[in-house]
Amino acid sequence: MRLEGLRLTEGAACGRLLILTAPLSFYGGVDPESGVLVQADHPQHGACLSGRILALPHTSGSTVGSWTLLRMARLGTAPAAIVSATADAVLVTGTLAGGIVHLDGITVNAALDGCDALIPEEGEWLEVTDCGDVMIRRPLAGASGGRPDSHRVRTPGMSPAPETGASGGRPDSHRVRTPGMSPAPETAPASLLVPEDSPLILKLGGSLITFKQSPVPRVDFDQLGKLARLLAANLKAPAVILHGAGSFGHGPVARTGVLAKALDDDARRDWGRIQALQYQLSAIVCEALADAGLPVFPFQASALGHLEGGRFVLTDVDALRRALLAGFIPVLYGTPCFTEDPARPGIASGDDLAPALALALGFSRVVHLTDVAGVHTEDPRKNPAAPVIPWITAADDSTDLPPSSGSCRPTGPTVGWTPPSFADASRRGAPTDAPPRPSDGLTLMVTSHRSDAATATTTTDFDVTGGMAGKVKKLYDVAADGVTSWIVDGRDETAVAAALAGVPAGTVVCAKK
Amino acid sequence: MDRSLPLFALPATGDTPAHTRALHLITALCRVRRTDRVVPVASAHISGVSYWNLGPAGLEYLDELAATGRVRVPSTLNPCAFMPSAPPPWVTEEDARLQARVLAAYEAMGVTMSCTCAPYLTQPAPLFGTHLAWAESSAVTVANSLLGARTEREGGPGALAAALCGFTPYTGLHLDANRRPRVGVRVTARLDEPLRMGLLGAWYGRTLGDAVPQFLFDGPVEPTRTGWQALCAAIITYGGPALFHVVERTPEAATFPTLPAQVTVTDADLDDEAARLTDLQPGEGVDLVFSGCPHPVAGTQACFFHRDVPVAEVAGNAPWTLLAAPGDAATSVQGDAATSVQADAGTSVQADAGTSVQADAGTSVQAGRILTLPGGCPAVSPLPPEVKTIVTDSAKAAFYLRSRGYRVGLAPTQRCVELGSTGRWPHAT
Repeated sequence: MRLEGLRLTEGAACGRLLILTAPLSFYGGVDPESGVLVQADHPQHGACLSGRILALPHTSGSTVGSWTLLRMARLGTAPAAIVSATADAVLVTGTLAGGIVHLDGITVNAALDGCDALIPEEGEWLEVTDCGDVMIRRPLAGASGGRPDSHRVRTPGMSPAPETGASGGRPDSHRVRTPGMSPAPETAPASLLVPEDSPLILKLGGSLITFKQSPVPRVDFDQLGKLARLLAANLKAPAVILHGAGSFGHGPVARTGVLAKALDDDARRDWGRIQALQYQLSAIVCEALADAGLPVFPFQASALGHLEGGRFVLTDVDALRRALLAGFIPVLYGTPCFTEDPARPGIASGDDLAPALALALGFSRVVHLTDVAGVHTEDPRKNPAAPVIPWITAADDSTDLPPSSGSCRPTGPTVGWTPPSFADASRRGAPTDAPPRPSDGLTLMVTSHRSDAATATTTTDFDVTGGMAGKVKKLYDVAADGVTSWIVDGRDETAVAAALAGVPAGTVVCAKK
Repeated sequence: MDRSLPLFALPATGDTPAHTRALHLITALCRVRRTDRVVPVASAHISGVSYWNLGPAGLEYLDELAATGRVRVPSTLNPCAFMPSAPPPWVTEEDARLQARVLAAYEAMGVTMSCTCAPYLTQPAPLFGTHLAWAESSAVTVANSLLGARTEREGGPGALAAALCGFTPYTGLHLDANRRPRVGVRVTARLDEPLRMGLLGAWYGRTLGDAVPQFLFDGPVEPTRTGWQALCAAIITYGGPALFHVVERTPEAATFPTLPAQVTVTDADLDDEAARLTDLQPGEGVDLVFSGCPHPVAGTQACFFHRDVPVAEVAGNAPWTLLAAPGDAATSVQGDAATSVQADAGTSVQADAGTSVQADAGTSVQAGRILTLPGGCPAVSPLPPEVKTIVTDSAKAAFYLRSRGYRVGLAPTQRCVELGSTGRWPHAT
């Protein structure tokens, strides 16, 4: 396996990987005489850095750290090489002064700790042997301003990579690789890297545009305006925008109980009112997006398709195609919808629509803007320190389920969720014998329901359409069809810009090949 | 005018080994900062002068560079721990020798021995719009904010490399786009005292981080020159940006439209900030008084040398009063009234009270002494081992001294003079 980065100092190195899971202050954090990590609160406290290929997120603390590294190099206790995610001047000054091989822009999965690795003389990559799965975080363009638009997109078999770096691109253009010396890169699944002009489905989470906890439908105009301007500045590709319902959907659905009720005229009126509420929200969202400069055009999903076996089936894609051809950005939204059972209307959420639209329109990427930084290893509301899983690869056959290294398995907020098999995915048309999934019956979709008396009447702290686990599962399903999905925090400008540019950010769900 | 060049326009190898090393570091820094352009600099200001920050490896690195390296642009030097020609009484000869070796290495490279964190006071100030490679954070903020010059906050080696090859990475505050104000801040607090300006900087950095602010000074009183220095030093020390604009007062402010005030800073905010930065309890003894961070304009420390009051009484009960100032003869602090107290270039002057005074509880202590540290900086120098508590008029100094474990009290300059005399942190007034 190969992890590509950016070379900061010359030279080749080989050794065993030592992966630091927290930033390190070399000054005071490492004993230069022995090479041992002595920073008391560091997770890898006590590890010996000497001779290892040291992978670390970044350095912290005093600028004197440069001289600690130099001293280690002079004493022979330095690491064989340093692989950093984001280097700073302190680190590179130290590695350059000490002649320590240094690659930047690479995050190494902690599961690879102890694997053998090497950095070839002229290579800008880390070669890891005997390993499970890896994550890469590509370098983003300068932290101070600039879009991350300079990253070369690689596809398997293309070697060397086409030089698409325009101005502000990777500053290593003097290093030309010949086809002979660089085999096809096998660093990341190719589907992880998508050209920035490839069309996309962009889902705006309901919690970003409304006050989701509000007991009455309420738009978060500030957040919506910010988001609209952010999208207007960064959206360069043809797109279909979906938005969630937030407090316009989940509260009313739960309050009226339409999902559980028999379909009488009373229930029909509720369904109709809920649909009408969605018109209102979409009108406000479209207005904000248009104000920001985006050529949006609203569509109603329940007029274009229906739910079948819990999946949204897009029966009329022609109107959307024509809108896209005419240069519009169609806007759809989660909405009540008819199903194969005339007595049971359902709800097609934005998360249901996204994969259906991607597949029907032939788009290869979906970007989900949410109010969390990505898929966390634990529920971030319970454990704020839970790290974000950088990527989840969907296997290409039923036996090769998500990588066995624990850190790559989505262990999202739903307990007991089992990854679907792809044999199952291929029988999409006949879902009757499929194992139960969150989308199989709308009553199963309530993931949590706070019902304590004090808050039940004023708060609707739940999601009737599946929450994060449901979202991931749906993305995982379409990944096998070549659709790469991003889950990023819609309030994080850098992450949104990266995701729209096709660069890994937040959590990326993609096919393995 | 964009004077930047692509990185490949620089030679792959330099004229000398030191030049080559400098080019390599600039190239690596360009990659770290994700740019492929560099810009020529008009001057460099180099930090990393105190031996206690460099250590043996850092000194070795400097010696290697000094063997063949010569600076290509006018370059100035940050304060050292103390001038080795006039060490304070608590350092050893070995300390002085090591500090002297650091200075000798820089001198061999052609760096001006300014030994100040305020090179804009001792050298011709940078012109509006010129690109610089400056390392001292307070000077970087002064250059960007008050002078309209352009520099990133370089590290010591990065600034030295820029000095040796004449270029710096073209990123960050060198670019127009990053100099735009992001947050409008209306300041109604009075800013009549340098410490208040420092507290404003500390408050901003702590609460609003590194977004470039556009201040509107709406308070009753104008800041002084020392006040501006205090704001620049504090804002970046406490996590703020290396650039701010003040409507109608700083040179680039007119370039940008006035933002609506999103935040208002009142006197109460600054009072809270002062309390937050003070560790001393009422009645606690003061071991050392420190003024002169950043190095001030000549003459501003004269209040420590009263015309009519004998030095002994001014120095009073605090064992030490340290006054830091540029290491340059022309601007070093002159106690114009105290004729016996003169800071010549490289000569530290001790105004020895020479008398014992009676402290409380009948304990006899040595009377305090005023010591100027021309070219020095107590934040990076060894201090007398018995010192535990320090009173200072600088929010920046408070930050660094606290991080070294001292208990610190913040007081306006005039109060510092009085506290030096009483030797006690006062009870609440």
